[in-house]
Amino acid sequence: MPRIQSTIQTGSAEFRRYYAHNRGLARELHEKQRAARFDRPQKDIERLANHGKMMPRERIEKLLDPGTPFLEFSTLAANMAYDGEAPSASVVTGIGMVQGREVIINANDSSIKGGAWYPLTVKKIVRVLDMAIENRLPVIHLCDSAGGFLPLQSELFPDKYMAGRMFRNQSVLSKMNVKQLALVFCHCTAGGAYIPALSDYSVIVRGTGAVFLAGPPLVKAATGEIVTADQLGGCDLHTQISGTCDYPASTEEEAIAIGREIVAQWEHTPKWNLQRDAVEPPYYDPDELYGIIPNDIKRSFEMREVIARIVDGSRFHEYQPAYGTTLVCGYANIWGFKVGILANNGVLFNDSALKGAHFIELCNQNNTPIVFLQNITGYMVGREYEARGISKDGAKMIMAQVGSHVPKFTVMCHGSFGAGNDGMCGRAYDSRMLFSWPNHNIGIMGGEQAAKTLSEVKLRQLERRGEKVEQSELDRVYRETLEAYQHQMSAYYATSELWDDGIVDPVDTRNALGMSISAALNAPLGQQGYGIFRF
Amino acid sequence: MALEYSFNFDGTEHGVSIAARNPELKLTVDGIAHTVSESGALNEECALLTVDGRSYQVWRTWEGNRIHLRIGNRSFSVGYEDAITAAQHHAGGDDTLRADMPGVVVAVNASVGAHVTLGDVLIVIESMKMQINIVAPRDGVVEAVFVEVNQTFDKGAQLISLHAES
Repeated sequence: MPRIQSTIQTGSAEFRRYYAHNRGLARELHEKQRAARFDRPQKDIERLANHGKMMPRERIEKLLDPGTPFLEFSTLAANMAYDGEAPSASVVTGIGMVQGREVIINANDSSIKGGAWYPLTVKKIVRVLDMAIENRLPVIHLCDSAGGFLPLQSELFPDKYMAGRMFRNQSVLSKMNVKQLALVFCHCTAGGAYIPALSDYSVIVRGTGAVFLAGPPLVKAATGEIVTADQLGGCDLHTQISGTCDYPASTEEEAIAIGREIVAQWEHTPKWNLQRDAVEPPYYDPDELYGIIPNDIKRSFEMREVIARIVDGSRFHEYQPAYGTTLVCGYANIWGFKVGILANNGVLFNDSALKGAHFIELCNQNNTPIVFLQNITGYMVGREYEARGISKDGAKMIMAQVGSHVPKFTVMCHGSFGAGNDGMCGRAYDSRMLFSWPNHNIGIMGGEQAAKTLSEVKLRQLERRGEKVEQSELDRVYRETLEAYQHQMSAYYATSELWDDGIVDPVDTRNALGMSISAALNAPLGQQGYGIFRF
Repeated sequence: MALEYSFNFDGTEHGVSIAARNPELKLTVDGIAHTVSESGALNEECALLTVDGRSYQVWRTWEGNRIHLRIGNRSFSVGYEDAITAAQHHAGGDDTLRADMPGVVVAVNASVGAHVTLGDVLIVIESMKMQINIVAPRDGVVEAVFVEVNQTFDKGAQLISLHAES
């Protein structure tokens, strides 16, 4: 395959300006991630240590095969919610290796409010269990949670995709013969009790571990019975009498060792046989991505330069290089895995949308996973393009990618605005994994356009009512809309709300995709076929 | 079946056809046939090659499409050009840069006759509120500039062209 010919001048003033800007964003990202992972009040760290408990990341490190990578999801979930009280949404999730098998990790973080579930905690756990279902990945639950965070119960308990969905997903996984193991380090209270109870295997630590539908205070309130947590639902009760847990352990270390041995008993299920070629690192240094991504959401950049810094050998077989040129399509390899890539090089026109839909069909027929690299302001607007059927051509792209039976992956490289987000496999479209870059912005339209639209609407409203139109009032609407937009369009807001599976440093994109593709191959290909394409 | 390749050997192009004749390879370099076999790589960097009956210890290291070889006291650098790129080089290619989208010209940085370098920003356009750089796809000389600042243009319009490579 030919190598992409880069036209980047690494000595140019523009490159250096962008480089400094994006390195700054990457530094900020790493600092925010570090704080979310490790900054805790000293008293909470001491409280855990006094109970002989490890921090969740220490447990994960001991559980995973030494020296293997851990692809962590949504480290900055909830970073802009609850006044920052729930870093990482109080739960660590990701894909790691245990006994040579790729597994999903779901680890409560009891250094934050006793590991209580906030609404975004539940959303994050449901998401990672969805991921387990989609990719048929076994799950290891590291249980240490006080249960639902009561002050916010209405936002985490009753609805379809709230707390019950975790247990529903566990049951679905079991029916699919996807294994689950629960390591009970501390309390599994109320709904939390179902996590070990619905797992195939569970290990409980004597003294600290406990599983019960109601903890001692609630039992006392309900029936007057006075019991300790250990008497009520401790290790010996559940491993000797009730049979709710399977293996007793004296320490957290022993529980992890037993857990690793349990995983070693699980059958190795074969992955589907995607074409894999010899791995070649990119010819162009991924570090140069910092100098390519503009420091302004309104500046465009050449997506082939990005592809060249993600794929094996910077090699790319471009499909229809002269047609619909605002959408770059073609085949490449990532970690040796054959993939089809769709990347935005400008607004989507009729021809680019048709090319995209056609290429998605080609990838499906060829059993090739698809990677979407988004930098999209939307589809072309105006009467001329409507007359040519831009809406139905965009619909074809959606129809093709929703009908895909191959796994899809999305990276938010810069802007993701309006209907372009849909055609290019945004969050709603079941990407197996979706990552964002720190410079990413997302919204139904750009901030300035939204502000203009809304002040226009306001003006007409006032005119209709026959009221006097004050310019200062219109300016206020414009300013407030713009501010609200800029806040909600940022990558940090998006990841806080779990609109992605985490922000990645652009230089890590290749490895994040490589691990994701490898994990996705655990699930067989989906059902072939599409809905109706409107011609 | 023999496969035809183009190698750049220390600066000169050589046509090479390679045919597998288990356990050896039949290499025809510039019309002359040779028999080559590799008697096991000693390690990733070092192999024992037998060419027309004579054995050589070969040290090698890869750099993208280029391999650096050391045989005895001599070192060589051999570049491989994939078939599409090689064919394009021989054809000269289309050297006119066109607009992917309709828009307006913001800046023109190059004039006819100017020598430009790969990656130079020749023209800046604005389209759908996005600023886009039109950059030189290779080193060359500007043949024609089709637009001026503030001019609007349609999708597919010619913007600038380079003299064909000689």
